[in-house]
Amino acid sequence: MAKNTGRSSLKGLKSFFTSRWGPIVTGAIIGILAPLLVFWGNPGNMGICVACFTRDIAGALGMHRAGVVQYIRPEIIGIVLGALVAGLLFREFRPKGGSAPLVRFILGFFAMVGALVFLGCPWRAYLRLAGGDLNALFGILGLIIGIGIGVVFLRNGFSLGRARPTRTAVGWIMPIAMIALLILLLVAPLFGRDADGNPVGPIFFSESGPGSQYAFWVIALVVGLAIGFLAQRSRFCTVGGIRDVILMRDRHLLNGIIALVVFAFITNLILGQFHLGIADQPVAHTNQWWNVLGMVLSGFAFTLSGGCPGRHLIMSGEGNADSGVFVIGMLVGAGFAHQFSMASSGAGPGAFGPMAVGVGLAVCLAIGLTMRQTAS
Amino acid sequence: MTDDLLTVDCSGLSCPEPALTARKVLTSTDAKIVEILVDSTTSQNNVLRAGERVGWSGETEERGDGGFRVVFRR
Repeated sequence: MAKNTGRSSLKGLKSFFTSRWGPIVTGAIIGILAPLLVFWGNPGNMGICVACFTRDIAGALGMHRAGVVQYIRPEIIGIVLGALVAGLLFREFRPKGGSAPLVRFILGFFAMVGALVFLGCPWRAYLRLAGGDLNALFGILGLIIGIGIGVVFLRNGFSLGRARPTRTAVGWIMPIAMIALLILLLVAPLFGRDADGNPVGPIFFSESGPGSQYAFWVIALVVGLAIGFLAQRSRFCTVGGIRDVILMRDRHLLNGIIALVVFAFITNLILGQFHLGIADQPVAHTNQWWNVLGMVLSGFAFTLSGGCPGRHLIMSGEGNADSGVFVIGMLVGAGFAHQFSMASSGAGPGAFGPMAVGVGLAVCLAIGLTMRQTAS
Repeated sequence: MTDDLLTVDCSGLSCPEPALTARKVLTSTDAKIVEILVDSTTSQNNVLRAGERVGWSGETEERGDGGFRVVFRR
């Protein structure tokens, strides 16, 4: 470990976070911070949700016109930039890309569609459970099934092929895009209003609904930075945790998920945010069939892509252009999900949500069957 | 390369392919030394953990190109 030998504290930190305690501590800290974000203003059981927040960003950019879910979420910006800082500090900022980017875009797209049928990414599935929302159990069941399907393909040689090192500038694209988003959040440009007095954009902010509920941007950004930093160090992954247990009986990452649920549960209890039940849960619906199937699609797509959405944000901050493409796939998928009535609402699945899940599963199966390569 | 050494290049592959490949190779090979090439510290740690779980002892070293070599011995 050539150059780090003199920097013993940095090295100690490094080995701590790659030890079995890394994911546990990261999960515990996310478990404490996410309910606090709800306490500070975020929507219920949505302290952090990579899918919902990316969807809110898509709305703020006018990529969909669902007026209740439009906001530039600083948490997303923070997670990418926190990972960038950790990557630079620990010499793990390594720009690379070129592993089937278009396929990764499609996987990101349908992972988002599935998540918006359930109403949450894996992070939020666990956070919803820790808030007492029992509908989340069906989402988590779907997630496990979807990951299990992905594992069958992995065992049979599924691979998107190799990424290769690339120019440093490529690695900076996603972090710079995040800084641009932060500027758009703070400047909030407005070109004018229509005859009814409604803003015409280019940036849209919800005046009611989940998009209008948020913690003060500095707090949200700092929490995102902290989570991005920690999760970069520990490789925290909410899909890998389940995948590795099924695939290799390895609980390393699963321990992080368990820590997240336990600490979020305790924090919710302390803050009076724990409400056990099925009906009337915040930003959730009770159609269990589609709670399961939405997350089957999502878990399948995440597994084929190599990680959960949070992990892709982190890797895009480390310079991984393929993860950057996956994130942009999620962003575009969120725009389509709302424009084409595929996303669910509190009332249940959108008109075309079930059809979209069917199409998404067919696409993922086709990707799984056609993308095979064995390491030499 | 001798029969005793098996080299597998996993650089550039997404999770969990390097660890899965390492596990497959280490549970089926007759080689005495197996070296797995990876391009990130994440894969390095994952491969090391996967190998140690199936009874090999491994150590890692940096390669000149910024990647890592994880060397397992029986």
